[in-house]
Amino acid sequence: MSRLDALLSRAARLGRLLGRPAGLAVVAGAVLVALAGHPYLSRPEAAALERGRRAAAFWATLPASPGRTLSGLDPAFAGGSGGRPGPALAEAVSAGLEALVRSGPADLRAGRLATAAAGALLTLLLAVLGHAVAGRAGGLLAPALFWLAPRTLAAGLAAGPDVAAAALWLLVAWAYRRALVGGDRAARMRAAALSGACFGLALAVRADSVLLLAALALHAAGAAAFAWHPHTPVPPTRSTGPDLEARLHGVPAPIAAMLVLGPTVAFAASPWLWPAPVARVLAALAPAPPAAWPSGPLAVLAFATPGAVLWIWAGGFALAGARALRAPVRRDRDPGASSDDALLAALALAGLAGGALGLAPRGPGLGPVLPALPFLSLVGARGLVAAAHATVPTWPRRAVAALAVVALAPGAIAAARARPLTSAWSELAGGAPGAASRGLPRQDGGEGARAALADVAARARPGARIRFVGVAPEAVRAWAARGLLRPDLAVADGDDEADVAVVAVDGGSRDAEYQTRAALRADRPVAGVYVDEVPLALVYARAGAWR
Amino acid sequence: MSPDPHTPGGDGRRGRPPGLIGTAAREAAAEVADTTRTRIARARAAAASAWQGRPPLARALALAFALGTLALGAAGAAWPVVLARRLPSALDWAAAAALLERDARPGDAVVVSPPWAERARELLPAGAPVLQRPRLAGEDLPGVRRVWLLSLRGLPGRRAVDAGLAARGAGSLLTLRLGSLELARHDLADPLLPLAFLPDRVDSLSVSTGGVDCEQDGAAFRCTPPPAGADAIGPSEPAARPPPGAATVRVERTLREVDGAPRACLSVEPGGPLATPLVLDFPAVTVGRVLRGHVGLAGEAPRGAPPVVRVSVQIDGEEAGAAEVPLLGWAAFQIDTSRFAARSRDIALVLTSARPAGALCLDAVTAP
Repeated sequence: MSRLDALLSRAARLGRLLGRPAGLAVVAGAVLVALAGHPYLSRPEAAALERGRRAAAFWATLPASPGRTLSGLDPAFAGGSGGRPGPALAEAVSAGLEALVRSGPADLRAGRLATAAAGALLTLLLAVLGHAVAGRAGGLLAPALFWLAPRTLAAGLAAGPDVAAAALWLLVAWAYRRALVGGDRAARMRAAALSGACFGLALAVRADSVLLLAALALHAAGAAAFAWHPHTPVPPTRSTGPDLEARLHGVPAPIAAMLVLGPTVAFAASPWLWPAPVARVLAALAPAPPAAWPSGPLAVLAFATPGAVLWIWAGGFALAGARALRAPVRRDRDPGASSDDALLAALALAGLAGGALGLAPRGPGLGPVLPALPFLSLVGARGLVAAAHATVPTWPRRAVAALAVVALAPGAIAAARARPLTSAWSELAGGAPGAASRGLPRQDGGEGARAALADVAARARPGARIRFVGVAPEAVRAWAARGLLRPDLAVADGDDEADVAVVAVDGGSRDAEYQTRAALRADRPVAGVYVDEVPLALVYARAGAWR
Repeated sequence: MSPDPHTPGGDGRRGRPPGLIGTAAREAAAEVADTTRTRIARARAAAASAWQGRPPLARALALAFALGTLALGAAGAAWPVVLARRLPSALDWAAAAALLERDARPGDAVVVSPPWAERARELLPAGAPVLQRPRLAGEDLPGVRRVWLLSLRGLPGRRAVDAGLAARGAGSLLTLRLGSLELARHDLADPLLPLAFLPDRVDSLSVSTGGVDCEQDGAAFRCTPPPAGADAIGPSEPAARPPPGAATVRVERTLREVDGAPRACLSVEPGGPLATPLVLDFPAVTVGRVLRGHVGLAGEAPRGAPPVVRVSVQIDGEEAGAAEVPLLGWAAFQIDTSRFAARSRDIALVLTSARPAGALCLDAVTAP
């Protein structure tokens, strides 16, 4: 066998693997794990890791000394996502996994493994649901539409609750759908129980997951009112147990399960709720003040998502909404398809509403609206496949492939170019320069300062003390452990004792930077990190400290 | 007089029959008109046929969606190349630096447009200081006579700075294109040329509060106000012993962010309301016709109604004027000092505020 044959055979095997949801999930997980060791650790990610370690320590010591552990409950769960109180299940799982595999302070990959696992689960569900709503092409397109953009990829490569929340939202939707259209009554009841349990876990990951219940209840009401009902009549075979569905008086079983199991699971998995459940739930759900436009997660969604992907999401969402609303008028349509359209559109809307109304924890980038994006990817895949079939009915597969390649290429190129990924802005924003002109954040929280270390290593005088402003201390420790910081350089705690300062420029307040400049008596930076001329970090030095 | 319709030529101006050229021209015109009519008819028929054979609405929408996807995908793929061509090269920056090195003189400053393009601060020569200002409207620019406007021509976000310069009546006298950069020199119509910039006189500054002199701690002053009620001002009054743990005031010459720009100022961190007046004494300052200053809150802008600070200006112990300044942005105040002008005098700035106001940033100049 020639080398070419071997290569083709290997490519065919990879193609077959990618054609299956499980294979696709494994590949996505492997890619996320491979890329997760990057050194761009932001302040929000470091805060999530720290919070997770405290929560994991709480769980680890709870069985041995419950009384003493419970007395330290509040400090263990203080400082939720975005500075608001909230549950911390995803962070605790990340920290638990990190404790098992971490090799040292240089190992940033360990803290991100849980996110990679959630990313693999998300890919699996996207492929399964994409296949269900748009055929084989949909099974490939939906994960690609989600992952091949710099900001969603960045979310998959950082520790935090957002990817886990997105995966759980999708899992709840899948289980809910199975509970409505499942084969027999037992299977439907199992799916309903799964949806309830996963809803509880979603609540324990992010409190704004309560919007899931609202969206699914709305869908159930719409299904009853507009004849979306996707139930297929099933003969009552093998139904030996009590008919729970009949006893629910018309309330769909998954909704009932979410109402009963959801709070139970969430309470059990969120020790933070134990002292005062009602008050703390209300505190976690109190809307944060909405961010002024253009800032906040919707601005990041509009300006950081590649234009073609945004267009596909919007078009797919419009198509799904139109089909769902048209179903009651045209009774000849497939009720199951209309139900799927309505379900995906309602969940996408719920995810976006959580970010827009300030119910989601205020995090960097797309985090607050991330649970909406898998649903937008699903409706987008469905819309793109439908458009290709309608436009080129003779070669629909080739049309889908061509459209997909053209639509996904800009995101893939941007993801390959951007370092760090959180500084990537689309052509709709005018790139990083356009985003800076609009006052949008330039990075999540100081991670771009990593690129200044080469200059510092080359030109700081021997033994200089380096002050990092706007950078997570854990990131500095990881850089030092990796050898990115020259061994003779020391880290300064204050401006007065520093010789050189590396200052992250996020796009927010720069008061700390200016005070550092004044302390160093340095008006001009001696080096900088720029993305398309937009500064991410500037280096200042005292006289004589820079060679 | 109306033309005779029976006369060849018709208009009565020419009595001769049309010649060969006139006939040919008329026939040609008629043929062109016929052709045009035919073409219009054909186009109408084609349009009607196309409209009859138009795709159904669903297919048309699908077609538009697919074409939109292709167009946006192509635009997105081309965007990195487009952007790279708009960015200045290293050679452009070097050319701008060389030009400013040669032509800049004292009293010149560089303003970069868009203002976030801070590579200029790293690369331009020290003789051409870069002013970091998101906009120029309302900025005093003390000591600046000429502004070099360095524009990154192909990039967005240049409007605020350009409009600010135009509003000052500073027309461009010289414009040079240096690759993707553009350098324009503007002479300010009414420059503010201060006699003294008070924050720079921190070496001779003395600070007191409630009659208690503040301790100098390196480059800063630490003041412990006396208890409430002992608010007499003046070194002659007996100083009350501060209670343990009383709030302290820290004063230092530094650089703070106010209204989105760095401000060289005296930073006053009261740690609470300035119920006891804080007195900043500057000895032997040349006084002009006005004392103009600014005060603002350092860091993030506060939510809600802004606190108000009272700034009283005393010259040689006599109050020249006072201003109640709401701490909204980089708020300006101006006191008429013409009756004290043209001499070196002792100036005291006295600050009070009823509400806690965070870290204040205060500057002042004396101007002719």
